[in-house]
This record gives sequence, C-alpha cells and structure tokens, in this order.
Amino acid sequence: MSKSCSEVLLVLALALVGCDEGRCVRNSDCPLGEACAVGVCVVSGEGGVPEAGVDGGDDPLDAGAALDAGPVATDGGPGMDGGVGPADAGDADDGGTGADGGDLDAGPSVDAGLPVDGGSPDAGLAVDAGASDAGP
Amino acid sequence: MRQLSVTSALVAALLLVVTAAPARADRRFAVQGVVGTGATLGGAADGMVALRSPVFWDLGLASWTDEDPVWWLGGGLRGEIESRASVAVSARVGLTAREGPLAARPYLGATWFFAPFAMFGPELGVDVSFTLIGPVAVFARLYVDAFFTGSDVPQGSAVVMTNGALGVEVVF
Repeated sequence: MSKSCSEVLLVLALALVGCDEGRCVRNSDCPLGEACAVGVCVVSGEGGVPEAGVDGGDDPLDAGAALDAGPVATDGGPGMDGGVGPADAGDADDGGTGADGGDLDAGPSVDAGLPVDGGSPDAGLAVDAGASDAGP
Repeated sequence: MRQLSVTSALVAALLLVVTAAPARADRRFAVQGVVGTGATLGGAADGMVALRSPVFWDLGLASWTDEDPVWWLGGGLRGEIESRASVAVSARVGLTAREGPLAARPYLGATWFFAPFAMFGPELGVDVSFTLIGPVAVFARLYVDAFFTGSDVPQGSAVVMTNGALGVEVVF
C-alpha cells in the first residue's frame, strides 16, 4: 500500500476512497471461479488446464490409466479410439479436458493393457493408446 | 455443525431480548436503520490491501431496562448491496452513556455473514444517537469487524472491516 493510502487510512478510519482498486481482500471481491490470495485474484485449483501433465509425463513406464482423469464421454468412444499410437495421442479425439496427457498415450508399447482400454472395440490393438483415455 | 451452533447462539441471544420484554414492563427497545460503508483491510504479499467496503444496510435492535439503563443487549441484520449481495446477523452487548439528547453506546459483539458466503468474527463498535423529537434520533454507528474464518476469508489471511453508518433510531 502506498504511503498516501496509509495516511488516508490513519487519518480517516473510514477510508471512503479505495486505495487499492483492482486488488482483493475477500474471495467475493474476485470474479466467479477465482479466489483472493495475498491481495490478488487467482484462478481456483479446479479446471482442466492446471491438471495437465498429471498423466505421468514422459515416463515410458507410466501407463497413465490410474492418473488419467480424462472423462470417457469426451473420448469419442471406441470408434474414434481405433487408431494406432499417434492418432490416439489425445489431441483431437480426446478433446475435452487437457488432463489427458497425450504424449504419454502415444507410446505404442506402453499402454498396451487391453483390459484397461475401454473394452472390445480396441481389442487387439496393442499399440492403442486408449488406456488412459478410457480411464475411469 | 459449527455454523449451526453459531446460528443457534445468535438466535438465542435475539430471542432472549425479545421474549424478556413481556416480563418486564420497564423494558425499552430501540430500532435502528442505517446505511454505511468504510474500509476493508486484508493481507497482501507486499503488506496490506485496503478497499472500500461494499455499501450496506443494517437494521438493528437494542433493548435495556429503565432499572438498569446502562447495559443493553442487541442484534442486527446486515446486507451488503454493492458489487455483491450478502446477508449477516450480529449480536451485541454494550454500555450506555447519556448526556442530554446525546447518547453513546460502546459495545462488543459478533457478526456472521451466512449467505451466499460465510465469514465470522468479533465486532467492536460504538453507537451514537442524538435525540431530535420525542423517540426519534439521528443515529450513527462506527464498527470494526475482524473475520478470521469463513469461505469469504482468503486462506491464511484475515479480513478487517472498519465501517461507519448513518441513519435513524426510534425508541419505544
């Protein structure tokens, strides 16, 4: 707070003129979906973007299924998931959340787990990256 | 559960004031209506943030007896009407110092914002009234609220509101 503001507050217990407009004191000072943190509004921890990358990153051993919160409904289903590797990299078909770390899914030999992968339409495609896409 | 207990305490305090009235004929009531604003202070990375408080209305009730006109109990309903709409209830207990038409009533209390968000904390203030005609008085209130808990209080911080309000008071 500037010195002038401090003086205003000290002299006038009722500072009728806001000295820090554009900042926040209470959570309700912020737009919907944001919260006040140390005087500024920040996006709350919910939402797709901040969760991106939880899917194991580049770890080739990370099957992704457990951490992938990607909703099945936005996955386009088995039909769209039928491609091999890169086609299922979570770019277009996965759409949705961004939490569905595409890079990881692209690894053909990693996500080979059939049982995890949304069932029969993808069966047989060992390179199908759908494991994490079909996540719970 | 905690909010429920706070609500129960505030409601009980108000009911105590109201239900005690028939038992004592000498009990007096004052109803106040004010509109106010002030400064709201909070922590920031670089020190402190000061914003003007949202404009609010406050409907208050105070009660005392002629036998003991010094002590009074009261409560109130407050609503913020600027840039948000919120509702709070308060409970207060205080003293009265009177000099002719002028009365000053310092008090301690607690305020609970309960909708659409929550804040709870102690309140310190002083009411000043100046009787104009009969039971009608010009009424002013200065109060400081400190909120340490509630969904509207930023995590790890506190909210301090220093407000003033002006209105009228009618004594029955």
